[in-house]
Amino acid sequence: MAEIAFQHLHAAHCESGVTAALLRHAGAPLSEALALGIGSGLFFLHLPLKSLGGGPTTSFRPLPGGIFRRTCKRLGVSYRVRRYRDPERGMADLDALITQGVPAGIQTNVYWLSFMPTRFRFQFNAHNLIVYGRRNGSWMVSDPVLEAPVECPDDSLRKARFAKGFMAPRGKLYHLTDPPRFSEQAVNAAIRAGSLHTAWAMSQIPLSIFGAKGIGFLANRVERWPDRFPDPRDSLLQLANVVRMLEEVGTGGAGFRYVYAAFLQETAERLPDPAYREYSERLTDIGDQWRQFAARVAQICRSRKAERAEFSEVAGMLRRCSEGEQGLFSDIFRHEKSRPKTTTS
Amino acid sequence: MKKEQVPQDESFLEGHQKAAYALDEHGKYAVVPSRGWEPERIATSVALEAQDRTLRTAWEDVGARRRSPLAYHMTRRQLTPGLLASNVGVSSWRVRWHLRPAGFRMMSLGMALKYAAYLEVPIERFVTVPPQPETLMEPSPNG
Repeated sequence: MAEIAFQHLHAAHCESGVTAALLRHAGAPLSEALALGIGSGLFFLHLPLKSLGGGPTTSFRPLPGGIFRRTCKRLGVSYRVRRYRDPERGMADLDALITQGVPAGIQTNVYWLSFMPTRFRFQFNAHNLIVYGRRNGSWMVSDPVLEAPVECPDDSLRKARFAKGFMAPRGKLYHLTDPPRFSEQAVNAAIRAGSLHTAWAMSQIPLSIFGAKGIGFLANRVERWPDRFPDPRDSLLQLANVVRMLEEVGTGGAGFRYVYAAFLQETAERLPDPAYREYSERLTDIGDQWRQFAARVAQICRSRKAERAEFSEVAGMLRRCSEGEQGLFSDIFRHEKSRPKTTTS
Repeated sequence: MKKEQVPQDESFLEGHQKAAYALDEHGKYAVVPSRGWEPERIATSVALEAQDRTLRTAWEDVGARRRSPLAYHMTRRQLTPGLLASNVGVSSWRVRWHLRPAGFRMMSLGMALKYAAYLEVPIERFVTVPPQPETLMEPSPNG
């Protein structure tokens, strides 16, 4: 039986929340928004394939696992990541860390986490949470997307850590190794690096399925769904899935756009750099457009009809989001590129 | 989005709250707990209804002896034959064989126990399906 005095952090997104909470516990307070920005946790991607998860996939974030790593690297914080073949060893190492007083981040499957609300349990392998104690055969879990810490039975956590399949966690366990020490300057440099990376990924990748262009690509696909799927329920399901990715899966609203706007706002004050205040306001407006899109999609779902005119209408809304984001992130990219290179690290 | 606009609608969160980012009265971003948002609930229910349909189809297939009870239990856990196979540690061809009534009947007790343990179904219920398929949309809050 061991328990670490750990302050729970209620966050919009699991990985940025875990990163911010672990850093704060180690004595380096950093907001979730900053962790998301430094770790470049905003993205867009639409994969029109059937193979993964049974249908076209829309994502508002980069591949899981990168936010923690990038944030630590850019801040010069030392950390350790381990994966396991043998569940016994994976659980024993977690136990040992807790006994030493080190809270650990782990990657898990969502379906087998018994504390999740039933209708939010689905087979997704890249959830992140913090384990900070052990009591009577249960683990004490600080899951950033919930408002308070919870307990998780040992067999449930074990199953969730060692689920197989796409993006299998393989028991992934990560923690900070030394107390993080970084200067204000280092944070500012990390912010610039994160911002430039995100702006590049959103506006400069020359492939049509990524970044702001990807949103326009999705719009084109959306327009074709009523013709492509003979059963209207299938087109509606596709549309509903975009909204679920946008809102349901822990994004702080509008698919991370609001959290990222919070990051841009904090950046404006921290650096200070007044240009970022304007960027933040623009992204807030884009976030509001995303939410209007979600609200309209919900109305369409309610009608249970897949009409071409209505799908074109929401495709138009997506195109406006696409144009707005392309403009915004190109501006940020140019702004960061045109700055004289500083030699802080 | 402003702080007072953060929706507090009925949802599937079972009393939990999620963190939403919104602007406070000074135009600063703040984290505001939200009980849910109606459009999100509708989008989720579309997906839950689709899952219910898939499960009902599997349930009917078992009743018509087209597939074995394993198909029902697998679908209930939102798994595919490939996923079930890698999680239980057998080849996906074997899982496909066990998804057929003939293959299911010839399954060893050890194999059945393995499946039942992973799918968290008591072994006595593993060989049958419930009188009605389970649903996720059952207590539907208006709509």
